[in-house]
Amino acid sequence: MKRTQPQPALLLFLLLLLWGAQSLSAHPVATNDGTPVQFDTIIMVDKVQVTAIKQGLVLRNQPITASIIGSQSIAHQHINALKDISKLVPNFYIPDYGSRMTSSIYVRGLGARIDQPVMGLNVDNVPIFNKDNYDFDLVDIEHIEVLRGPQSTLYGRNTMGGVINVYTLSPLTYEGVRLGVEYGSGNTLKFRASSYYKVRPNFGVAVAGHYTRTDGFFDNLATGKKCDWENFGGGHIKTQWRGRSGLRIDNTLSFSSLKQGGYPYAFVETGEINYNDTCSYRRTTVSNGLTIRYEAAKFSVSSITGYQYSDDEMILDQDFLPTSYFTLKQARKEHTLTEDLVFKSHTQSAYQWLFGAFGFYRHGTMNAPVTFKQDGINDLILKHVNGVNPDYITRWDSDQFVLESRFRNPSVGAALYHESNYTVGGWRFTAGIRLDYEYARLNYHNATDTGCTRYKKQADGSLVSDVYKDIHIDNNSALTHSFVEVLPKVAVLYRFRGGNTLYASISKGYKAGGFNTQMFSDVLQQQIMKDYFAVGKQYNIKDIVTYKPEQSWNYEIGSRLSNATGTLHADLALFYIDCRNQQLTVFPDGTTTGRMMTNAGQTRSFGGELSLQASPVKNLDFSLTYGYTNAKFVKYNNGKTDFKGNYIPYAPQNTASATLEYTIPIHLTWLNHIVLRAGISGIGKIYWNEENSLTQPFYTLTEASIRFEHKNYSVDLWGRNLGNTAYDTFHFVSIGNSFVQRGRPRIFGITLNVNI
Amino acid sequence: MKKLFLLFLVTLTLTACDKEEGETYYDEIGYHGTLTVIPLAGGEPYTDTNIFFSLAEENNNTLTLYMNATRFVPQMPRLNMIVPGITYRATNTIVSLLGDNIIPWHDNVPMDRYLITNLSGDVNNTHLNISFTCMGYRVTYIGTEITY
Repeated sequence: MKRTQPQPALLLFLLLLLWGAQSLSAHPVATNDGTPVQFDTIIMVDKVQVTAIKQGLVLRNQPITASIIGSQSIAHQHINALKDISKLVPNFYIPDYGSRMTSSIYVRGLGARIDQPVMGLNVDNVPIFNKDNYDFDLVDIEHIEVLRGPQSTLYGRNTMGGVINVYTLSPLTYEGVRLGVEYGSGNTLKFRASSYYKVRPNFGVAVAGHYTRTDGFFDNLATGKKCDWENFGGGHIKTQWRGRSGLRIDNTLSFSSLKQGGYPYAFVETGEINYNDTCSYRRTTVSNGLTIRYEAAKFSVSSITGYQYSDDEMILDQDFLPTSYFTLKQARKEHTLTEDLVFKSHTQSAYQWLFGAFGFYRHGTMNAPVTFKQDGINDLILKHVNGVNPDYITRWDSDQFVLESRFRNPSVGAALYHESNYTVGGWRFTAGIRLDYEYARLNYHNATDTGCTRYKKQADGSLVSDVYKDIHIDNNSALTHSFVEVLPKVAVLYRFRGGNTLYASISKGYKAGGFNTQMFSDVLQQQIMKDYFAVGKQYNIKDIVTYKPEQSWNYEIGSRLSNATGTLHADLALFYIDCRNQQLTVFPDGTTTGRMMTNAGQTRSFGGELSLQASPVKNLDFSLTYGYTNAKFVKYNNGKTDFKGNYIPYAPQNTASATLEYTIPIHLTWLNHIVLRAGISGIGKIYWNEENSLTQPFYTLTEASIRFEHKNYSVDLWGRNLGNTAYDTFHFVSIGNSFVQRGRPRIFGITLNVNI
Repeated sequence: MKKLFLLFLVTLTLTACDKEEGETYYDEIGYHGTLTVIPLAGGEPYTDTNIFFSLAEENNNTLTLYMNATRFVPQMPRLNMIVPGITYRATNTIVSLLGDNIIPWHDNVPMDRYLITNLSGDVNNTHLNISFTCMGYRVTYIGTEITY
């Protein structure tokens, strides 16, 4: 296959950057982090508080490709969850499928459906460790940063695609009561209430709560009911204290409770959602983040302590059909404690430094029984067994049996990291390095107790019992593994006289290794086949379940441009990613139904990103984003097929959005503005499988809103997917059958906000 | 004859051994090797690597071949099959194998339709080389003795 050469495009892009950087000049804007900058981002942030610890507030001065979404954009564009920001950030895609447990992030061609994420998530500087907890309701968000490209030097594991930083409103910068009610299609109802109170000038408390319910949008024919219903509630209490001596303490306690149906998967052959066994997801989370920061004259010390508890349970009809193959229950409890110590200089010197030490302890337990039912016993086991010798036939003695799997999974990690910055003239040089160590242990107990009878066929067609097989398996053992990663980064940034910047960076990222516990049902199934029916090969459990870290090298150039009047801002970036030891699923040789996770792949990805914001006339704002990714396998043989040269599935090749917003001033006592907004976003092409035989073509979704604003309240009428575009958000194969999740249809809603 | 074979086996590295009342004896030798299957009616040969076979001596002066996770075509499930009743003749350096019309066993039952004919082969102190005809295929296995 002909390999695409990015060099001519790269040269052209560099020339454009140089032209743009020199021809546009920005006007200075005062900032409070002591560096001469113009704009933090092309999307201006309103009421920004200085809470970012590692990067500093002004991302515009960093050699990082970033999108920042301010509170106004969050409100106007009805961003309720991280999945909703897909339409605003180029080359960033979180498909909405399955349940809230599913938060698969795809960025620049990187991504994974299960296990370790490619992007980290921090809320008020505190890391959310488990990506299964990434999908929560965003309430009272001040701004969201999406940093793309490896952020591993500062943030470590699972940030090879970038980091999402979410910052909530501060009771020290905002006071009052905020109320919100929203009603929309699918009988969807959202409530939100919060109170921000400054007890003293240096001490504030915020209490926020939210509740969401929906009937859902998709019918399950087998039950005659909507399957994607949801009840979700939660809240947080945030306290902030500022001492006169430079000591600052922030604490946020959050909790949430979720129950939902989810998994509206339609069988491709019929186009119908039609499964007979229960699918549901339940989750309870409690987390606390404590940040203590001391500002000395020439440096700051920050301690970020996080604790997260989650208790969740997923129940799946694994065949997603009105047949009885097998059902899966996965109940987990997890405690995670993290501590990050950051020492950072802040002098007027040309040289600035940052040292950090990070550690975590995580302890999880999981009970994951798989119940084999009649169709599963017949098709997945007996079909293979009874096909061997026509003189005998085997029958199971019960219509179902359970493969029990219980796990205990403690892990611990530690890291030391450093970053230096040196500024001379318009140049700024950055170098950083991080040493990550991780140890993980998996105690597993897999068992089954069932039985079957083999019959011998007689000449007259009758069956005579031959042998009874008492199937009893009880595996009780442990796996361990550990790894060390060294994560360097170098970058250079040049600031032109007007403030526009041009930067280049090389950085390494990694996705942690781990244990794929989902493989254990395959292990047990295979063991039954081997030990009791003399069919197939025995698995090596360590090879099947354990996978090593995945590494990537990211090469990037970019620029941030603004014109002199501040009416035009643009961010551009080009990247090339070389990803090694990719964690992929393969079919082991010698098995009948099994699969295994292994570090089988190597991929490369290149592309570009553009973000543009313009205010050509007063009260008119226009924004545009576009991302292109070309991501292919360099090496991946799954044991049956060689996929070298094929596109990586699930990662979109193009992401695009355009939004036009016009504000009409209304000089009435009860109405200040009418905001008209129209937007269009597009995603695709997405390949659904490694063979590249199934695709979701590029599709667009249109949305619009009209918002009546007063300083104390607003009413917003909005609609999404106005063209009622039919598209798929997910496609997968289970037990040889193909399923899709359709995108949500046209929906309308009305939102009332009150700020007192 | 039995003594000769035992003498020969003693020179080999052992895959399994049991100790009973202080006596040590050897009952099985394992091999990793490549299976090549040629359809007698014509067609593409099928090759399977990293296949584990083992050879054991029985009390009736015959050998039993254990074929683990073996298949003759990609579509066939991998089966653990037992081929009993292989006769042998030992010299100082080699053991010759012979057999015809042998019904192999799978899962403790005879597999009549897998009837093995024209079995021949030899064993030396490092390799097993065996061929037979089964279900219209000529099956050849060349394995290297497993050392532990």
